[in-house]
Amino acid sequence: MCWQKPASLIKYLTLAIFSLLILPVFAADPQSNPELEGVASDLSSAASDDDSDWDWSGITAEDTTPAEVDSKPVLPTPGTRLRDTTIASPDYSASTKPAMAIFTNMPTFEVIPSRKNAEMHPCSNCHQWTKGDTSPRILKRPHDDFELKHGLHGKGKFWCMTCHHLEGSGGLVTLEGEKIDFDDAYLICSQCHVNQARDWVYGAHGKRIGNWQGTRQILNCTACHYQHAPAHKPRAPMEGPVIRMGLERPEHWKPLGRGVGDNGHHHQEVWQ
Amino acid sequence: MSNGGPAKMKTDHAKPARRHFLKKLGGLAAAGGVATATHAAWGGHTLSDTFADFFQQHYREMSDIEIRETLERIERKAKNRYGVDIRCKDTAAIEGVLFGYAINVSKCRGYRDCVHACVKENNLSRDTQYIRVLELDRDNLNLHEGDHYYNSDTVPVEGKHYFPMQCMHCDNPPCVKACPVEATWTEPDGIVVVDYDWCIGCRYCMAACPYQARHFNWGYPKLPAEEITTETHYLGNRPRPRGVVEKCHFCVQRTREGRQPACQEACPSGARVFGNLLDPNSEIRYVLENKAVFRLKEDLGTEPKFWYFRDR
Repeated sequence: MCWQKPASLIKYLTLAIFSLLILPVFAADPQSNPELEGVASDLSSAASDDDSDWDWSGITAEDTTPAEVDSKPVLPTPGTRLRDTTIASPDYSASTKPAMAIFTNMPTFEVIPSRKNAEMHPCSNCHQWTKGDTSPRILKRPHDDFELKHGLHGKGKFWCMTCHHLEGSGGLVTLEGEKIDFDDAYLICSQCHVNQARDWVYGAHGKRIGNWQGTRQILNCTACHYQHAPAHKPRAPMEGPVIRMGLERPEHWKPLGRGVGDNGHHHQEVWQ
Repeated sequence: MSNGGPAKMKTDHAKPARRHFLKKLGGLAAAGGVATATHAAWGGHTLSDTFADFFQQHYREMSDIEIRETLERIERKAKNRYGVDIRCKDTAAIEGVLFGYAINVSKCRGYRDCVHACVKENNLSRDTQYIRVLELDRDNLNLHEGDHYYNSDTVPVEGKHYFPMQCMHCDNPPCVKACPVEATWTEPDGIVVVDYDWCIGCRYCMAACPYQARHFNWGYPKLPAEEITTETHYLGNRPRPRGVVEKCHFCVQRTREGRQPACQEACPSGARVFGNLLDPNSEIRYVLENKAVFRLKEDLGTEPKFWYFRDR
């Protein structure tokens, strides 16, 4: 994206003309290419009414037949914030990948891959058709719709392109420019979080799945930490213990909501 | 393993002849219509099962045949009582394995997921919990000031930290020494277990345990039949009788088959580390060798196989 070079300028002009010719065709007749239906209507609505929110009409999940779903870019359902769709939840059914080396002589283990779906790569939904502006700036719609609370992020130190590239279907890139898969996100994280990475590799951090012996399979960093805001959100605790008869109840104690005895009686009060 | 000894002494002096005699006795009773007539009076057991229960030997002194018959009887009793088909095993300890546990206190966020996974997995009476999670002020480790009953809308609460406790599986367990009938002992893989059928319910062990890890069944477990875990172990999560002591057993029915304990599997923050202390490449060994670990009440000399550590 070197705008100064004449060759690139010609290329860009050609692309712009091509886009102007092609886009209205898709916007007018989305059925001409089912792969582009969602994108085209998105782009047209964004272009026609830039100040309003996205026009989600006609992009609900219900109006697509199951056969079409696989071949289409999956778009977030209305009301979903971008950040809700980009958590890389683990895919337990996929075959695990042996971990790549972060430290020398590190133990062998396998990493459970992230879920492979288009929701995880929303960039390419649009940016395979439009060029992205990669210069650091204050993001506007539709890019302002996700939380960026990752340490130095948003404070002028990091920018999207520190970790992302836009080639192909998008992906991750290390500080040294090596392109890596989303499944190997731990390579990105370990560039800065060395102590956590070491603990993760040797077993004092992270979560092992299933067994304590045999093949060690552990979750990727992004399975637990949302990559753009890695701090965990507080959550409601599960029910506490019941209080034995004779013990004083603390003021904040509430009786169990559930509690089925062997005879089906509900025990709202203290047992025993 | 100071109090260990072999897990099961497969002795020859056990008397299968007596078992057969009892079986015949039970058969006679059934033929006489006694067993069917007294179905309710025997708590749903047949007469032969009731007699066999009465004469059941200590777990470590039963022969293979007796153990098999006992396991079948346990399955029958569970079927009678709860209407559920359970499978009871007596998987032996894996050779060369000594279990240890470590908890990262700075990662525990007080969700209590482990507590309820344990209750479900181990067929606990719904008024009993093996795992206690304490809520303490930050930088406070006086456990007696901890709150078991914290009930805020969300955890972790600012300025608090959380501290899970369960059976420490001491290498020098005071509870084992206190038991007058040797109903509790240390297995070769380091798990302190209870033979629920041998326990007389005197609760000396509960008084001896400095960690309050043992729990007493005042009645039959309050156990919803539809929530019973059907894969059970004789020394582990089989439905307990009335009036016996029970405790955490490192999910013996899972860990002896290579699976994780239920609490570790349920922990959403990965605070729990479990593994073989004798394997130098295990995660628990990495924690012990590279983290500042501590144990509770070390001055008592109980040598718990349960460590705590912090990230910083």
